Amino acid sequence: MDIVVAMKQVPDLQQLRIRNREPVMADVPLTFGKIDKNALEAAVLLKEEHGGEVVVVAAGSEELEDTIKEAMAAGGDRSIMLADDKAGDLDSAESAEILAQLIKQVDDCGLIIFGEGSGDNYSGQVGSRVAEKLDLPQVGSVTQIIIDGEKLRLTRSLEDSVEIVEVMMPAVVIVTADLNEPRIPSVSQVLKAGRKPKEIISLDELEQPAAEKTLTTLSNLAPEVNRKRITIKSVEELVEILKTEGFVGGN
Amino acid sequence: MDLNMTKEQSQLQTAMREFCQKYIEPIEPILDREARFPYEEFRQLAEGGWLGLVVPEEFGGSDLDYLTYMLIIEEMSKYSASICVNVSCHASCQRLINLYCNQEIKRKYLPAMVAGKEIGALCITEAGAGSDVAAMKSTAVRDGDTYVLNGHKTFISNGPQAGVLCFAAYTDISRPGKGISMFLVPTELPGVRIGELYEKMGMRGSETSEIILENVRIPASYLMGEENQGMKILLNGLDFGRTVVAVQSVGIAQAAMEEAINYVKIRVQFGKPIAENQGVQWLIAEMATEIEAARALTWQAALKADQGKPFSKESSMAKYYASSMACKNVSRALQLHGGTGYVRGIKVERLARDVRVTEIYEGTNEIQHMIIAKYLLD
Repeated sequence: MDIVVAMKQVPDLQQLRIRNREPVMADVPLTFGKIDKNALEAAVLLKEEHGGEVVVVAAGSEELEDTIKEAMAAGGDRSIMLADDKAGDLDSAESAEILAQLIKQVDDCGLIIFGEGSGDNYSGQVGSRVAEKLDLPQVGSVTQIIIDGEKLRLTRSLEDSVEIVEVMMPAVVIVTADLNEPRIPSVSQVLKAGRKPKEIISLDELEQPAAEKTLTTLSNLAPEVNRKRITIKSVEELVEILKTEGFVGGN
Repeated sequence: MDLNMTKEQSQLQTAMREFCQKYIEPIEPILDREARFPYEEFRQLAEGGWLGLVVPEEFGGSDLDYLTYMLIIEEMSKYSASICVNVSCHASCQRLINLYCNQEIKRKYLPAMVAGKEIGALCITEAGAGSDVAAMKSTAVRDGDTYVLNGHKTFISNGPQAGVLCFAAYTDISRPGKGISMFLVPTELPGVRIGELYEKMGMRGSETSEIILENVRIPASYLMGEENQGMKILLNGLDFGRTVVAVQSVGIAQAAMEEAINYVKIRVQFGKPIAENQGVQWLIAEMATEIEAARALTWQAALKADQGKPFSKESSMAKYYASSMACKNVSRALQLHGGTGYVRGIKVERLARDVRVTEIYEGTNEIQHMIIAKYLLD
């Protein structure tokens, strides 16, 4: 049984600068989102315990062919990707349609793992949309995955409780960032990553055309921060100001 | 000259950064305070494959080109210049063993060194032979199928930890400079001992000691290369070593600049962050420009090495410029921290002590000037 992990290529947010509240994208390298890396780590740990292959699916611009090497270094065995410069800015509906078609190409797929939100716009929709398109059960907010024969036992961490559910495979599992710490690839894993099998298709090669874009981003601005620029000279003064601002001393 | 990194190069740099942030950054202030070798972190480096970067794959390494090795070393230096010393001295020994030892010795030592089970140390400097290498007094006398070695080496990085030494000694004392040979010396042999352990001002996560050999008998097959070829081996090794010091300096300077940038943005004086002062902005601009210039010189030397071309001049230029630049700019970064930068436990204070030796070791900068001038004037 193979495990599929869906990952999204996003700008490396650690290297993103903000100028006039807008992100400066020039020279920012592409990578995968943080929770996507948790999803991949979960898949690799399950593979190490139960066997099979970890298949990474992704859709994005042509640079994805390079970016995918990160996932291969972190334990992915092979990849199926749509790498096309026309697919550099997909919305959730488009992504879900494409990913569902890519996942259909995996013959023995028992489990499909998504991170709960992408590193850039965090819509949190794609996993659920793909589950619907593939007519598979889906479980979200998952912090632990245990394979038990044909079933999955999943732990969901909710606001006030921890829920354990069982679901038959194949299923879509949407994980949170809490479930593991992604591994740091070794030197040899990085060097071998580029030699792992990959299948690349373009938008024109899809069986069905990607869904129409349904969402238009009008603006994407960093929140405004009003610095008060208060200078203090003593701890007492600091405490007084924090009280005035309502940060301490309240009931 | 292509200045764009390949995906593999940027991935290796990122992996090194993540490794350092997880394992090295938390321990470095402790190593600095306690002045001790990072055994646990060295083991973790071995697990990640970071101790086999210049070793061929058949001996368990990854056989990286020299530029990629440099990119990794720069990243490591940003987090711990002293662990960089440990790793690069170890790698220098591996490189010499691979180039100049027979297959049997390579099979015996290189995989163990990649796994971090044996640590390497280069033994060249002596009390009377620093910049003037030819003035060394160590000797190796042929006796049947063995050599008998005697010598007293000083300032040996990894000395207390070393399992194998690349040891320079005269096989023909009548030929100053030309009668030197290199030997591989396992430290388990009778007659090898560690002398004084130095208390250094910086690089305190790297232990440095004397190494003393008294009538140490090794098989003749442990001669590296040919008899009296030692100076050639040493000079070749120094070309690589100087490029490593250059890139290490770039890493230290980069770390200091990043510390300074973070600090000047939050340090408020006269009602505004000091980063808003033009005098501070100009300093930051100069630091960034000089770091880039030093990095370019370093890459140039590494690229020439990868192309198999002579690069002595380039490695000397890179070493001299990058280390001077780093000393100047770490000092500037400390100045931008004001009194805070002078306090133990503040990163820039440690960097100010670590960086000073880059102008001294692997050939002082004065010697680098002589090498560069010789190329231009001869």
